[in-house]
Amino acid sequence: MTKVAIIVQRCHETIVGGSEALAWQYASLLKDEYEVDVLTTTAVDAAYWTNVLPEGTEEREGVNVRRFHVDLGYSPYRTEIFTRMLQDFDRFGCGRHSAPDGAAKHIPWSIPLQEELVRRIGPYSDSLIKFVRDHWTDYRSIIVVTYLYPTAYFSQLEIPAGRALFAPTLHDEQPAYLSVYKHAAHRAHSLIWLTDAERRLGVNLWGDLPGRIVAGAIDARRREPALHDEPYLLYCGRIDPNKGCSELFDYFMRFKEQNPSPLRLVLTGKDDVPVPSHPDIDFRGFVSAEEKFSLMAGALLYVMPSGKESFSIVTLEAMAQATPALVTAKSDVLTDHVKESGGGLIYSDYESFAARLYEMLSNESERERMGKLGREYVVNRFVPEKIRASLIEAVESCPKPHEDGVESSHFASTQMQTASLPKIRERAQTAPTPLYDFYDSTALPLPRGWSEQELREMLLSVQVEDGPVEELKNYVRADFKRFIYTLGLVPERSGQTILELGANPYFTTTLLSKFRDAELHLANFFDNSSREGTQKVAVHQTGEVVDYSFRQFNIEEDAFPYEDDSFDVVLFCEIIEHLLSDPVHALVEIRRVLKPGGILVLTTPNVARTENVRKIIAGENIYDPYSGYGAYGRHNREYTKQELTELLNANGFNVNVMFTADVNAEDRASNHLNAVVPLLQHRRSDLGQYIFCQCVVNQGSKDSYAVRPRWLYRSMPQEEEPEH
Amino acid sequence: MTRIAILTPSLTTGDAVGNDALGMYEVLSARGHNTRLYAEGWASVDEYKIWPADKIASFLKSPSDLLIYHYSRGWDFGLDLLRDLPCRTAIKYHNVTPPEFFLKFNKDLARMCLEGRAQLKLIAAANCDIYMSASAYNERELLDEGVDESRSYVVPPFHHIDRLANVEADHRILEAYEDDRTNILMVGRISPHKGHPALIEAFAAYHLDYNPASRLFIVGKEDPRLEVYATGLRAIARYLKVEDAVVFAGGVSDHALKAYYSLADVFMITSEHEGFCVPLVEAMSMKVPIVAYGSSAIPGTVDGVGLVWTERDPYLLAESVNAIVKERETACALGRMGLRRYEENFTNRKIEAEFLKAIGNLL
Repeated sequence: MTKVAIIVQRCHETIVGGSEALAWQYASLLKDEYEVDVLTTTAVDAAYWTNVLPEGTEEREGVNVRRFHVDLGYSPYRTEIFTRMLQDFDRFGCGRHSAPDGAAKHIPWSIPLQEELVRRIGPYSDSLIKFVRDHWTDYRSIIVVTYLYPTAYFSQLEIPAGRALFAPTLHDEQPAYLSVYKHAAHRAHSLIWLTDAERRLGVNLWGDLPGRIVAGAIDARRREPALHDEPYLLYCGRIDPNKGCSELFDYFMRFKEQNPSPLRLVLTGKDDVPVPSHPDIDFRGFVSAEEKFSLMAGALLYVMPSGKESFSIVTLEAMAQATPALVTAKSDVLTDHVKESGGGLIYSDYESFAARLYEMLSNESERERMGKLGREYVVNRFVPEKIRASLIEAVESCPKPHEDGVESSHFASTQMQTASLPKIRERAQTAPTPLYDFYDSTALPLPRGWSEQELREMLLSVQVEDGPVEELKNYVRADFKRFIYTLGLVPERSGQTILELGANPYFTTTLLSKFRDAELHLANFFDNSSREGTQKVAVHQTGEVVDYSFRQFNIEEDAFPYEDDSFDVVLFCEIIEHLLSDPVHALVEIRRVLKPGGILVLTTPNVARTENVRKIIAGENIYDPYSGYGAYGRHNREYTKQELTELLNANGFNVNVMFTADVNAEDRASNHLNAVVPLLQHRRSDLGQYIFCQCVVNQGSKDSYAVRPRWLYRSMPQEEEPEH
Repeated sequence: MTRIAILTPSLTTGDAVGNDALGMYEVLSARGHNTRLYAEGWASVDEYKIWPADKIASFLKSPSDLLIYHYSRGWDFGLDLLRDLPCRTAIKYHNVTPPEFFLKFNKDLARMCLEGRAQLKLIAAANCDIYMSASAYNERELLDEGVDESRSYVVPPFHHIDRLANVEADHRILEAYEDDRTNILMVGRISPHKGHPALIEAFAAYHLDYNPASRLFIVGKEDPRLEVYATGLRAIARYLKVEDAVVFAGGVSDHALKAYYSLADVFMITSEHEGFCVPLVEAMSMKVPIVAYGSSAIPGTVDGVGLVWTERDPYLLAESVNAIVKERETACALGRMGLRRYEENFTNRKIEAEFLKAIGNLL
């Protein structure tokens, strides 16, 4: 006969538990059609998982119960990790709709840690898992019952994907938010849900999964009502705060205080917490099934305070005895039953509990009506024949063990893994931003009260008449930071006279006029046509239009048209690299027109920057292209920090500040640099794109001597004997 | 009745060679053989009786006795024994680290490794009855030195990974790193051949470009003789601006080790020389996905259950970590494959079978 296996953590007639009862029910429903093996452990209690029952196979009511030894049961360590999980659930704000997009938020634990917890929740049975691994092909299908325990979880990993049936008996509790359970659920061929509410929770936690609502069969045979003098409310099952029992006791006792009546509360089951001693509370302990049904038939109402029901067999059993149910709104499953049947009432707090109870106490015809509706609901829907048919359909829908179709998980994984290697290589090639940020980036000296964003916008709106609009805007975008570093080097003293060489296109000029209290003198060199000129500059953001007048002369050939000692500050920025023949001439003239103690601000590209190191290694050229603006439009000779220092020192300037910095992200590092990084360590601070320098005229050097070093000038005529 | 001596120059637990020797001792003793452990020096092995190496000649007297010599470094005494003892001999070859790795850091260690590699030829030529290698990579070296293939076996080293599964994780460590950062783990001695600079580089690429909420655990004992190397690693972490995200855990207890493996999202290794690499198998047993630079024995040990590269490129490694962290399916699949490989090849039970197959005729 074809075999079917059902995996569940415990199996014995004395066990009180929803998932165990469901597993047994499914086994009983299938045993006529198939040979059913229940794969379970030797444990009886769900707290300690102690090995109590004998290992091996026991035949019970036509079902083979195979019990396996528990290797890992309870330990204090288990409480530790479990508590940690509960704490992290709160700490990371997990929950059904807690993710930013309103989806469920899972507990962010690594997989090994999650599996360690699952294993320790127990009962962990190595032999059961090995049995599943070695014998899954013996069965037409395997039904894994309940998501939480390692018996289910690790078995699901052993059964190849797309083959097993999974009845998770899921409810909204913290462990359900461990992502490993989601992965396990997706390995199943299809799911077996008990209710639509459970399915909805499953979709929320685990995403869309194929499945069907099978539910469970309810014993609906009518029993004789238990004989009782007084009317009573009934609760059957585990007496446990997790099942809402503490709340139930509290509500009942308060109700009795406010509404004296002969009403009693009767409980049966297992008292995991002590039942309060109260004259009207009656705990019967563990009762036989028949006694339970009898009590249900005779009860005024069946009360169910548990928010953690995935099906609630007991509530349905009570409803089948035509007893209306009074259920908590905390459980979608219970409220669904009540709403769909019309066979009960819902409460959400003490007030509503008391109100519903009061209504029911005094209204016998309403109780009878509801009771009838409840019974109809159960009898029509939860009929053994229907459940059996659904189960058989589910079993038969699974692929047969030796059918192809779904490859074994191992094989599929290998395929996936070897396919992903080239993809990973590809993605790695598009090199992300660099590993090595060499420069100690000096903080941007933003003017007080201005953000970088604001300044950028302002500068982008500066437009010199007849200038190439887009080219200039791109220039600002690329070099914005450089302008700010430059501004930062100009002292903030008021009443200074400042000479800016090469003022066009007036970005620095705009910053100077806005942020320095100074008399600005400007100089440009476009051609030899005239000695001076004017250009209009608009700052579109503010609507200002300024006329900038400037002198025009060639700084490496002409004498500067200014008196000695005229200026407090001279700006000589992004010019020296354009010069063609005699940068020292410019320096000497600058020295002449600066007042004693005057400041020179010099900026220029850094020839030794990271970009150039990379280029040379890659075999690319570092020289600047020829320029449409003529010979002066090109970078003709770039400098290193050391060269500039020497040149300045030799020609009568003392350097106050000199640093390099990157101003934009163009052409950042790539793999080529990795090998040379150790070699660049010694000059970490020399690798920025630009050199920024502030120097002061050396007091003793105002005479007109000029030093043209041999490393900068070669093949010079004899009269100009170079130093060094 | 055959007497068996298991010999190694030094014996400690928490050491691959030591655990292998102890594992062999357990297996042979359990089968009723008169087995003894011999070493020149030993530490933290209180549960076992260790005999001083110079007494070994008085134990192995008969030609049918057996010496199992664990070879991982040069040792004149061991070499002499192979020549002088009348009994049968078996070598367990763990590989010798090439001396180049130690040159900049400790000349003594470099010299020991140089001797070790030099003596390898002599070991191969010593005509021992069998040669067991911890990996196919090691075996290749022996065969290249002229060892007869018919006497050569690959027997992975015995280990304590079963302990790892059952030991309780140190909750202080779980608590200390209780956040939702991605954790990358490497386990291995802090020694220059283990490639830590490349590991930190790869981590920096991942940390800076993919996921700043990440952390690197470097778990492994620091040897005072290699202080320069250890200091250098911390300097590299600072230089790459990831010093706050790198944890040098040092040598740790089993409980702590379990905690680190439990916290790991990825196991990453960029070692340049391994004779087997037990931590890779630890990771497999804990279902931690593996990303590695595939030098020496690493590709053989991993054999497709991890992402192994032939280039030591930090961006490739970083992208691999990203692929695992981003795609849970990949992480789960690799984890499962790793566990399966461990169970099929590297449990102590399986190793025992290989060991007995190799040594059977000599018992």
